[in-house]
Order: sequence, then structure tokens, then C-alpha cells
Amino acid sequence: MLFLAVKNQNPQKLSRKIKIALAGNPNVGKSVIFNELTGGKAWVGNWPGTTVEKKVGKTKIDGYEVEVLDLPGIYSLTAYSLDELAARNGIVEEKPDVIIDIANAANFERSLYLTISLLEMGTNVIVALNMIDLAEAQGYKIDAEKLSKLLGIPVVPTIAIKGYGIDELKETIIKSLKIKRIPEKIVDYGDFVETEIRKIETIIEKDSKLSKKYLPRWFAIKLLEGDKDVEKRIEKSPFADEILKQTQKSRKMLDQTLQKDVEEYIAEKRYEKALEIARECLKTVKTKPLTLTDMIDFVTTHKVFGIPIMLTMLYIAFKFAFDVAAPLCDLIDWFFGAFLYDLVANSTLPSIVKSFLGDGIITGVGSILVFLPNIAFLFLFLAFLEDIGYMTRAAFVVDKIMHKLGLTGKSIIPMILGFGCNVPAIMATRAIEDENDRKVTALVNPLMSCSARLPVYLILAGAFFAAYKGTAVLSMYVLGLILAIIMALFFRKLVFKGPSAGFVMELPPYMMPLVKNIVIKTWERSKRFLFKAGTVILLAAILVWVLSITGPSGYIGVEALEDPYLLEKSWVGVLGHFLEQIFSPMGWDWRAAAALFFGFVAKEVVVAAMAMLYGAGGEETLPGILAGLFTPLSAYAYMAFVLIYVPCLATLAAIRSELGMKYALFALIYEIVLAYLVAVGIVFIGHLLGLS
Amino acid sequence: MVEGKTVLISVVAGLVAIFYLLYAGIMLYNWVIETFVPGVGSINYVLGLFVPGDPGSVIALVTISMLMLGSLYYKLNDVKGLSCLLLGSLIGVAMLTLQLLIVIANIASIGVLTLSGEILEYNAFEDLLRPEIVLGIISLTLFTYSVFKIREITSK
Repeated sequence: MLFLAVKNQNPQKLSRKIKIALAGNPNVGKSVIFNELTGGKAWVGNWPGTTVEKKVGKTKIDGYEVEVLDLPGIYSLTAYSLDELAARNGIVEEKPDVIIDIANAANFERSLYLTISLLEMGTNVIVALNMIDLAEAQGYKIDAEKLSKLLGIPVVPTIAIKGYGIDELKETIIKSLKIKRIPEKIVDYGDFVETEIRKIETIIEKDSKLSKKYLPRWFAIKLLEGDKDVEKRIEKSPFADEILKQTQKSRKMLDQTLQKDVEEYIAEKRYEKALEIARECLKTVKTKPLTLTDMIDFVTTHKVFGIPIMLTMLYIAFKFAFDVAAPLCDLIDWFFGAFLYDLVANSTLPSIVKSFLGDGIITGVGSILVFLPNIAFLFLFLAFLEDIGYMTRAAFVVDKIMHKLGLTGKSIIPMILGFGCNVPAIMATRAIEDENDRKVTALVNPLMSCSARLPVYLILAGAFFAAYKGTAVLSMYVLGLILAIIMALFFRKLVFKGPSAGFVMELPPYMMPLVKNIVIKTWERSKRFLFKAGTVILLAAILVWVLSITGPSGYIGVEALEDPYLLEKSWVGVLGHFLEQIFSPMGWDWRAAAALFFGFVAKEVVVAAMAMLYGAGGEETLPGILAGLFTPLSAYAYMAFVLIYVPCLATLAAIRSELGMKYALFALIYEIVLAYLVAVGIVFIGHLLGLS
Repeated sequence: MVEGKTVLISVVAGLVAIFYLLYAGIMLYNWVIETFVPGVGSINYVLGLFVPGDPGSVIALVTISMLMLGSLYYKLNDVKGLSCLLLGSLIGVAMLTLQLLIVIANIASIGVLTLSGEILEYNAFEDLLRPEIVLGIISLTLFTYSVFKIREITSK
């Protein structure tokens, strides 16, 4: 039973530049194969017309220059989620010469559904049957040769994490270029449906432009499924009316004949095919034995142990990031605060240039870069937890709570992503089908403590909670999560009413992480922080510097940065004194209040502004200065305020692009109000408890 | 013989659980004293040198203790009991490793700060005698035992 006919291609027609795409379900080892093929070097952008991340790498195989596209992790090729749509459009628009479909051997049937969907599109597919070791550990073996015969495409068994099968995969890519595949029917949908598919197909074939771009059979099936994106694509066709009329007629007829929705019927048939192929290729070696994953999962997803284990993991992550990275932070602090600052201060440059370099750039940017080791160490630990498979379990235990509160579990992935950066996390809400759930998740996402807030926490926690700064920071993350859940519940009950969609979460098996992968992930994430420090933060630091040496009366002079009396007369001083009145219940002085204003650009800027306004640099360290101006209680309230108040500009822009201006403004206002209430609440309760 | 070994491990796991819980209790007490009773001074801290107040660490220590007690509740000759012992001892070992890394980092920090002209003293023994280290070493034994036992079960 061969579905794809093959014929040899003329080698002279083959270009030396080729494009391959990696497709697969989430957690099948796609990133590992991408890194194995490209050496981890990637350009990150967006898929056209979307905000879904597009990763492109380059490599050379057998003299060919190969561009490797990493498609989003997907389960099918419907148009319901943005990831699936982006992957599908990526295949249509980018026209890869070969698609490597990474199938999870340990979850074979589900992976086959995507393989079938890809083959239906008429693409040149190679199956990389990954994690064969895990499948064997689970007690079954997959006959790759038989699978290859049944699907009519090459199948390469791989264990990507160990590099097994990668060379064979590369060879197969080149071999498959020399073979032109003629797409044939892979799923037989039965006489009734096939007749209707053929009718629509015949009309599509009349439009040569359309039938050249898309496989008519695939297009006809998608139309029958009621795919809105495909319907849009025929709008410009001269046969659009005819195609749509026939589609409507066919759908109506099939709904009556089949006694069920055509879309549902088609999906069922694909699953049946996947199941049929899986049955023929699977050999049960032994009954599924008890695995280490089963044993660990009993504890990590336990109703009593689950949450404490998650909190412990986060605590260890923070303790590791702060205490173990300390010597590197000290080194960077010495470099900026003493070496570079003194170098500029002792130079013969004009005083304004000295101040610009020393007080503006070195103090501003240096005060942020000091935290690079902390952030890199945190990313390192989180990448480790992610790669061993623990983060999915953390999401699972939080999901249990969310579900009990009537919230969708689908929110949890964007919420966990928010711990890194709120911008991609808000974009990730596009995977949530229910509009109300999506809006609520995007609106509460800025409450998840992103890495930009870390420098603020670290400065204050270092100054006031030195013995347990890890815990102080952990409490901010927990506070953010609790507030996000409360607000989501509030919005769901009062604003976005209606039932929440269900959610099935797949727990991949635990595995030994690949050091190279963890290092690449850590570097990619840390690089963003470095880039931000060199761009947004640098510009914001310059802005603060300019506004500190000028005021309503004009130029004050660089002395303002050393003389608090003069600084009060600057623009920053005017702004700070205005805000100070609002923040008086919390006991923050005007400089702390002004720093908050600049945090709107990016939260790290709060530290840069504080460093400049409090005159840190040289002998005077910022934590040392703050220790005399804040109390532990007011410092903790400040940390909470920074956690909650206005999302940064980029996050706000993300909310605007996802939900519109109205919701962006709503997020801005509700977060300021909430931040104020929480900060006042902390101070009030603290006073009641006798804390100063 | 095998039965006797399981009993011995159960007793050790039980004792370690109690010590972790005790340690967490002292840590919480020290934190409460330090935070909510200002001006009392370190004289009132219990073992303040080795047990600083840290509520986050309390969560980690109570978790280890819970898991060790869980291994007794589900029984060590049961897969569930062994799973609890594995995770509990693993976190104990993670805390031990973390504390050792912190000691190394502290020594490195002193080196960096000395280079920049600061004069600082650091007594690594205080940090090396902390209960995370002592109890972590016992957890390492329990961890080794649980790994061997689990290997036996999963390879069957």
C-alpha cells in the first residue's frame, strides 16, 4: 500500500541551496534536532502576519547550503490555533524542499496524525522517528522499515539527545531531494466524501494559479472541513463563487448523509488511519513496565507534595541564581563601579562628558549589567528544569488549582512563560481558542514576574533581606502568581462571563538534559537581556541623566547629580516631588517615586534611575545608600509595587496588538490601581504587626 | 536480611525527617524573632550561627521532611514509598550541593573583593557545619539506596 509514487529527479535541476523545515508535536525533541543540524545558531523573527516566533538556522550538508526552518510545535494543521496556522502557512509560503516530521516514538499514534496531515498537503516528508529508546523502555518497538513502506516516505529512527541517527537523517535529506514525490491519496474518506472532494477538486483545478500553489485535494478537504483561512485564500480566484457554492452543497449533503459534522468525520478518519498504521508497525516487546518517570510523577504531581515541591524547586533556583552567581556580580560591580567609574572620574575630560559617561552611562547601565550573572544563572537552572521535563509538571500542579477555580488550564503555559518575559507570553495566549479565556490570560499575564523585575528585587532584597534574599524574591513570584489567579477569577466572574474550555496536558517523560541545549537556551535568553541593556536601558539612562541636569529653569549643571538640593530643581525633581505625595503612605522619597516613572520604559530602568538619582558610583554602592533611606517594610512594598504596576512599553504594545487599545489601557489602569492597593496594604498590615 | 535493611532505612528516613522538621522549626523561629520582634538581638536566636532565619528554606526543609515521612506512610517496600524517598533524598542532596556551591562562591567573592582592595573575613566552617550539609550527607545515603532499589524494580 504505497501512497506516494516516486520518480528520480534530474540531478542537474537541483539547486545547491535548499530549504528544509522541522515539524512535530511539542516536546518531541525538535529543538535538539534543530541544534544538531545547525549547531545552535539561529535567527529569530516572526512568521509573516503573525507574532509567532520563527527560528531559522543554516548548515551545510554534502555540499548543499541548507536553510533550516523551525516550525512551531503543533499537533495538526487546522486553523484553530495561531501556531498551527503559522506552521501551515510556513509550509505553503516558504515551500521547503523537505519537511522533517519529528515523530515521538513514545507517543506514536498522536505523532502519526500530524504526519498524515503533512502528507495530505503533498509535501516531501521524511519522518525522524525520535525517542526510540523511550519507546523501547515503555515496552514496544516500531518497525521503521514497515512504516516507511506504509507511508511511502523515508523513516529514520533517531535518539536526538544522544546524536543517534542524525548523520543518517542528513543523508536521507539529500537522497530525498533527488526523488520527486507525486502525492496520492493517503486517507480514504469513504465513497460519499470522496465523491464530494472530487467535485470541489475539479473546480479548483480550473484555476491553474490556485492549483499550482496548493494541492487541489488538500484544498478541497480543508474547504469541506470549513477552514476559514482556506476560504479566505480563494477569495481572489475567478472560480471562488463556484467553489464555495459546491462546498456548501457538499457539506450540507454530507452532514445529512453522515449524520455528523463533516469536519469531525474527517478528523476521525485521519485518526483511524493513524491507528491502523500504528497497529501494523508496533511490536509489543513486553508489557509496559514501571518507569522512573511513573515513579517521579507520583510524587511531583501528588495533591499534597506537588505544590511544596514546586516552591522548593523555585527556591533552589533563586538561591542558586543569587548566592552562587555572587562572585561574578562582585566582579562586574567592581569593573563598573570602581574601575571604569574611577577611570572616567580621574580623566582630564570636560566635566559634562565625565558626568555623562560616569553618572549617566556607567552608573546607569552598569547598575543593570551587574545582575547579568544572576539572570544567566536563573535561566540556566530554569532551562535545566525545562529540559529534564519538570516545568510541565509544575504547570500541571498549578493547573489543578486553576481548574478548581473555574479557570482554563491553557492559561498556565503563557503564565509560566511570563516568568521569562511577558511579551512572548502574551503572544502565546493565541493558542487559547476561547476568546474570553484568551483575553483574561493576556490581561493578567503582566502580573507574572518577568526577569526585568529581578534587578529591582535584587537591589532591595540584597539591602534589606540579605540572609534570605532568595526567599524575598521567591515571595514576589508567588505573590504575582496569586494575584494573577485572583484577578483572572475576578475578570472571569464579572467581566468575561461564560464557561472555561477544558484542557488536556501531555506530560513528556523525564530525561537527562543535553548540556549543549541548556547552554544554548541560557545564552539565547541572556543575550536578550544584554541587548536590552545596550539599547533601551542605555537610552533610558541617558534620558534620566538629561532630565536630572536640566529643569524648568534650564540647564542646572552636572553638579545636580551630586547635590540633592540642585537635583530637586531638575525635571526629575519636579516629577519626583509630584509623585512623592501620592506615595507618601508607603514612605518612599521623591527619588524612589521618580525612578518608578522611568520603569514604564522597562522595569530594569528603575534601578538605573535609582543609581543615578541616589548618586551611586565609586565608593557608594546603591544597596548601601538605600539601606539608610528605606525600611524593610517600605522596601518590600516597593518590590511589590514594581511587580504589579504598569506593564513595560513592550508588554503594553503586545496587549494592544493582541486585544486592542481599549484593553491595553485597561491593563495599564487596573495594574496601577492594584499595585497601589497592594503596596498600601503591605505597609498597613506591616504596621499592624509592629514592623517598622 | 533484606527486610532488616528496609527497616533500618525506614528508621534513618524517619529520623532524618524529624531533624529536617526540627531544623525548619528553628529556622522559622529565628526568622520570626528577627522580623517581628526587632531589637531583641541575636542572643535570642536558636543556633543563629548555623540556622539563619529563612522562610523559603523552611518550605524546602518541610518538603523534604514531608517526603521522608511519606516514604514511611506508603512503606518502603512499596513503589510509592520508594518514590517519596527518592524525591525527598534528592532534594536533600540538592540542598547539600547548593550549600557547597555557596561556600565556594563565598570564597570566590572574598577573593574578588580583596582584589578590589576590601578587607573581609569569611569563616567557611560555619557554612560547612550547617544542617543542610550534615543532613544532606545522610540524604545522600538514602538517595543511593533508593536509586539501587528503583533500578532493581524498573529493570525487572
